[in-house]
Amino acid sequence: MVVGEMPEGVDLLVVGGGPGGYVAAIAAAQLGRKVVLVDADGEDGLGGVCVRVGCIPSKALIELAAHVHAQPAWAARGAPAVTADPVDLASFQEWRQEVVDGLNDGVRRLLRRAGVEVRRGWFRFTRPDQGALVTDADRPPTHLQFTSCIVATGSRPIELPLLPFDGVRIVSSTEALGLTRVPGSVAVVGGGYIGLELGTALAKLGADVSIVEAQPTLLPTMDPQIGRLVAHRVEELGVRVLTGAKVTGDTGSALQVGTVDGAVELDVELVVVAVGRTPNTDDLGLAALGVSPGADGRLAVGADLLLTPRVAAIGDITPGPALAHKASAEGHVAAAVLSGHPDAFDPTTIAAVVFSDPEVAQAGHTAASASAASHQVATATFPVAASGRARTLGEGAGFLEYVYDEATGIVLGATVVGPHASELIAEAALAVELSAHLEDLAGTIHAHPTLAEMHHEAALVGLGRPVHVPGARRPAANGDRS
Amino acid sequence: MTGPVEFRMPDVGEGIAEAEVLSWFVEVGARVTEDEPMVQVETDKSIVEIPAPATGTLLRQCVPAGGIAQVDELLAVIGDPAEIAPTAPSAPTAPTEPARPAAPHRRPLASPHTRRLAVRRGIDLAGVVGTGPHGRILATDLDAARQEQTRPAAATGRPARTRADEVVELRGLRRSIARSMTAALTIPHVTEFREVDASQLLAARAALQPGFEAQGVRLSVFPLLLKAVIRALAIQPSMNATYDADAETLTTYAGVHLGMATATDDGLIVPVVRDADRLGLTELTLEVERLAERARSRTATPEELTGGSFTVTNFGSFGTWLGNPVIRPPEVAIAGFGRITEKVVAVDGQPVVRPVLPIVVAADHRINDGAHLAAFVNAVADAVAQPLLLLS
Ligand SMILES: Cc1cc2nc3c(=O)[nH]c(=O)nc-3n(C[C@H](O)[C@H](O)[C@H](O)COP(=O)(O)OP(=O)(O)OC[C@H]3O[C@@H](n4cnc5c(N)ncnc54)[C@H](O)[C@@H]3O)c2cc1C
Repeated sequence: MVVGEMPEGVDLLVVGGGPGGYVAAIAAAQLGRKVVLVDADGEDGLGGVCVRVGCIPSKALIELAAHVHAQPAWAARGAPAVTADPVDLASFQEWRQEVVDGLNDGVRRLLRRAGVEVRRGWFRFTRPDQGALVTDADRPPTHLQFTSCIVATGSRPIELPLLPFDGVRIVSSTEALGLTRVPGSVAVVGGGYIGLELGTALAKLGADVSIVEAQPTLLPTMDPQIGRLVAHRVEELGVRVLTGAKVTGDTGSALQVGTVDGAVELDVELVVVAVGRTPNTDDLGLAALGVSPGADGRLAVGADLLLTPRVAAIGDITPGPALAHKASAEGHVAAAVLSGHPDAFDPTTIAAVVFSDPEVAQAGHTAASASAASHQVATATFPVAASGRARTLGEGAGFLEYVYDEATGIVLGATVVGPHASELIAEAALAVELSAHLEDLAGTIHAHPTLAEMHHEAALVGLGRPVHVPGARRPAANGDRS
Repeated sequence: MTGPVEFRMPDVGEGIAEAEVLSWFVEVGARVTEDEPMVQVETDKSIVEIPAPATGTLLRQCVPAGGIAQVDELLAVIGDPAEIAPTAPSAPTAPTEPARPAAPHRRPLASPHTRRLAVRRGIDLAGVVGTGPHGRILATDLDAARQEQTRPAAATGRPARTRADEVVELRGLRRSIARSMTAALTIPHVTEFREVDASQLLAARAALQPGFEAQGVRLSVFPLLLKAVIRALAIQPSMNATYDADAETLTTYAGVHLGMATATDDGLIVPVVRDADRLGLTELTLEVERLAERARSRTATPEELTGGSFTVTNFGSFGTWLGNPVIRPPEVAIAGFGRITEKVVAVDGQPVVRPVLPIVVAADHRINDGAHLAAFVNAVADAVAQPLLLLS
């Protein structure tokens, strides 16, 4: 230690104010720890990527786009038609900022009530139990010495060497979410969930959208069938979907793309690069802890999430899906483990949701992954078109499918495609976590008319007693099912 | 970590060619920490806990519990978790299953609440019989399982205790001493003071310090002193006890539950390091630091403040040379340490300057006599003078 680096003592330090970090801070405070949370943006950073430039603003934009897009259809059904003025994205952005600020402020209050101290600065480890909090260039850093530390520094957009961000024409999701004018034409590079959500929303707001995806289908990490279904639907919105396609260059006005059918030039005003996110583990001073990230930038942790006896890592910087709810769930575990309460991050499912049109959501096993895990797999599907409530929404596309173990009738996973799939997946996730039997779902009375009745109906399909869909009656497969 | 580490059965003693694996403290897929117990083996001479040779994920247990391992036979492979399950594709991804062992395995049917309870209690669900619908494991099934499964070390890294807490009725001389001492004095203290050359202790701390720093742990002298006390309590277990004067029973503890008198703004608080005798020096250091912080911030829970079997007080932290420590009933003894200061002492007839540590121990005279006390103080002093003894 250099003279003058007198470290300040901290009981439990949380680095990063995103959904991982702030939840961990509150959980640790509830366990009696004295918590200091640092974020590069101080109190303004609370909520992290999720609140500021991720989940929340993207869903606000998607909601706006859905309403704009639905108006003609509702007008055709008798609602008063609204004049087709261009969408006022500038006033939308004002509203979105209010939403974001409100949530940011909410997190601030929650932390204050829990007694968590929030500090501004970039944190970097300098010793296994210590680090420097750098604020601005001309001020010496503060040194913090901690008993325990939870690292939740999240991720940032990946930049393609061929397409360096310029913040004007070539942008990341962050700038795309802040647009104050609907661009005439947009190319979205990346057909994963972030690219698909943005592309769909911009198309519904009137932009001419192309999506470029290197893999053979959109949503490449999901079942190819879902990718194809979603591609079909966005093509109906006028979106040009180029799969198996790679960007080869950009002229400044045209994006050059190589496809199996030859080279294509896309004349576009805006290029949104959404090819994934990279964990913020490169500028953390991890060498001082004696650990280093893997090739993908993530930090290997076990179920206890510990990197060293006193440092845990959570959120986008650890293996598993980079999702806000995963980060928060890990936050609870890390706070407990570092406070002397044995705990493990060992979920049966981390539900994944894509706010595309239609929405897609998945929890637990797919049929393929379940049979790979040597289950005797069966599926039970109920179509959205057979739901009365879906009809009243004017929606008919999609399905709810349960994957279950044929031998035991125990639910292993579910996929929902259709309106409010993002909400519907919650019941399926609970069923998977509780190891529910199809009979448990069939025996739970669901309110009518709701989309959630599809859970009940799909279970009945699996049990061979469907009511609202015709179906060959299937004999009970074994004595387990009555 | 660079590549997996293969760990072979070490040569544990004179002429022993093989050992039986009694139990694994860490499950495949769980994390092992260098120098923390990983597996327990029994030779025909002794039961030995073998520490992990490296930090990482336990990829394979090559000899199951109950199996015989020849010296030099492959026992375990430790490596990067990426080697047992592919890490998820680059962020952000759609639902990928969390990393799990490659072998096809069915997850025991249990709710998140039950799973969490199992982790907290250190029970492996794979070995629990579920009585719920379709064989689901219910929270109540864990109670039954607890009795059957040895407390697996996956959660705590510590093996099951073989000796239980023991309650004996006081009889004969001991009872009459107890009665008469109670009648004679409300607090029948017998106290001994000693000064010990702490050069070796400081040298040991300096030698250990770099290894600890590498793990992110700052080692002070205090945990080493606690180790000395723990050793002395093993030699003189009558000091590691509580006395119920009404029932006239003495409870001698199988484990050492070490109270640490900690000065706070509100007064003296004594958090208890439970099972301190089973903690490695690193764990002990972290636990002491954690509990001291909780005591100082007044956030320690009632469980963390009760159930002590022996108390240590650090007069040195007040800057005092030494004081007269007061036993905390129902405990029967207390040890105190002063500040290490340089003093002129005679070595081989020559005056030399040495760091000197003052020690004081008070015992409840109803339970322990001067001879017990002296044996205990000698054991502490020996360990301070020759910290190598702490290794045994
Ligand atoms: C466009 C978009 C849409 C998304 N939609 C969804 C969705 O619908 N659902 C969902 O679950 N997830 C969604 N996500 C993903 C979600 O935002 C992340 O998984 C989540 O925010 C990760 O949380 P975290 O706590 O790990 O880190 P982050 O939210 O990334 O927060 C990290 C924080 O740490 C701070 N920080 C970083 N390094 C340091 C340092 N060295 N010192 C101090 N502070 C530091 C940063 O300033 C930041 O505030 C979306 C992401 C994007 C980009």
